[in-house]
Amino acid sequence: MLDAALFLFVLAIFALGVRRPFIWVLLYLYIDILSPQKIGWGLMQMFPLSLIAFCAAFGGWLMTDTKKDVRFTFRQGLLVVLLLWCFYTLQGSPFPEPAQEKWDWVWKAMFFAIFLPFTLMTRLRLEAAAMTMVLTVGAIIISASMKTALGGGGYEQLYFFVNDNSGLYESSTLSTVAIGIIPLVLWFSRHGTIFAPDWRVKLFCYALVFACLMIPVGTEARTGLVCIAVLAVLALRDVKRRALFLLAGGLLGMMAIPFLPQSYFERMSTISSHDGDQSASTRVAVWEWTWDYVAENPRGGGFDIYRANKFTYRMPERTGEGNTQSIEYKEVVDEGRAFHSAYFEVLGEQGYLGFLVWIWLQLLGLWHMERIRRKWRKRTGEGERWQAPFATALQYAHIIYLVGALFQGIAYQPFIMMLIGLQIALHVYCKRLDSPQNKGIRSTRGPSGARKGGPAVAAREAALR
Amino acid sequence: MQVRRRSRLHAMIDYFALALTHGLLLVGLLRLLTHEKLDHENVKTLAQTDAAQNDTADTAKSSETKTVRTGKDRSQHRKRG
Repeated sequence: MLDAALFLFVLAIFALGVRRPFIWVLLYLYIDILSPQKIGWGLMQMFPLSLIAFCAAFGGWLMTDTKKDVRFTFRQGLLVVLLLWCFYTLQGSPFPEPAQEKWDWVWKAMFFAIFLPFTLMTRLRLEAAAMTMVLTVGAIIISASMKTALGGGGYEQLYFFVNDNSGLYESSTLSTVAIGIIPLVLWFSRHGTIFAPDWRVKLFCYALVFACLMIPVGTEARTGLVCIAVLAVLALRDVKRRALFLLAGGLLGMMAIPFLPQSYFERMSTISSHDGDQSASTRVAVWEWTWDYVAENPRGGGFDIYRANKFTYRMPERTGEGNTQSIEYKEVVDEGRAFHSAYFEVLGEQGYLGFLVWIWLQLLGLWHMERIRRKWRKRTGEGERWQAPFATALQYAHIIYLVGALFQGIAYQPFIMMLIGLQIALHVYCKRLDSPQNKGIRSTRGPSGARKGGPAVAAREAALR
Repeated sequence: MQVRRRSRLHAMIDYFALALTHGLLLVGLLRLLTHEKLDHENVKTLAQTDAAQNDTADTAKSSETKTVRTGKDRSQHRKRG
């Protein structure tokens, strides 16, 4: 039943795309985020849906879209360099099979991030892409948060649509993305046009925000709690009454405490002491190993090079309770531990050059969004009020990702690549609006749309007419 | 028994979440289908619409100023006369 329903849904979107081929781009976003072929079992797995959707999206753009406003940006250039460099390091990988497996999805994610901005040249397309991303990941979030609310949460115990720890179906990754999309969801509650922001849209958006906040609780991912804290700090930039915001946030947090399970507090208490559990202890050891490895191999070891690591570390083991508690340090030998950090992942796999390109790509995105935010914030003209908040939402999502990425190996996460694609598209769009030919119309008015020069200029323009 | 009940509940939640989000996606995509500005958005038109709106406001303001000035001129003219 579910299999058939998902298959019919995908077929329906394919059919809609015949009339508007851009919809195939959205279909690819949907398939890449939700992986419906993993949720379904029969029909959904018979066809290579992702490949078909990608070919349709690319073909549709190639054949029907106007290429007049297409710009190849510097950040897309960085993505191309990173893609080629990843391919280069893949060749000498000591673990060819798992490296090839990773390359198979990484190149697609990066290639699509390069391609996506070419298709998003109107406001409606930008919004449609963001809407598809939010609603698709929203499916996973709503389901997981409802299960959490009904007592189904817990560390590695929360069931998703797919339970293979891949992509967004990994608890820490989902927590980061769930918190990261909150600013985007709030943007839709104020500036959306596909669904005009009436009370129903607002209600859905606020409910979705609540569901997003439930994900770190349900998954008991420590990263999620850190991301919530980062979001709260970022929100201080925009709220008018900061003291009231802090007070309300504190009160809400206090009110939520009785509803949180004991296991959540126990898990969160290990945030500050990294030697408290094995997962956190090995991270530090892996990072040290990566640092040494890249010093010896500056061009990196290729995908999945973490499999080469082997190290010994001392982990405290507590026995007894209360005053009789004793701590014994025992030596733990570990090998093939994952990076647990996107920064060390890129550094170890792609070396110094790859890391430089990757971090440049991230930081430049933040800078571009900041520039749009500052430039468009004071504009009040029709069609000029959504850009600054949209840039802010994308920037905050990116910052939350970068913080979450400190503790997870999500350097090439397809969802983040899509986010980068959206940022590039918004940057190109805003630049186009401010281009000289469009600026010609705007140059006679001030930042708020008010005419400079007043009636004298108007009279001159009237004479020209 | 409890495990079975829980798994049935989880399945229902999954169906609900998928139905809700997929329904919204479908409605959104159907709306896009009929939207003129999906494929082409004339930035100039956008700016010109904005310009026209501001022009109207400017014209209204300048005509107000004109009226005031005309009134002032008349009173000065009368004084001179």
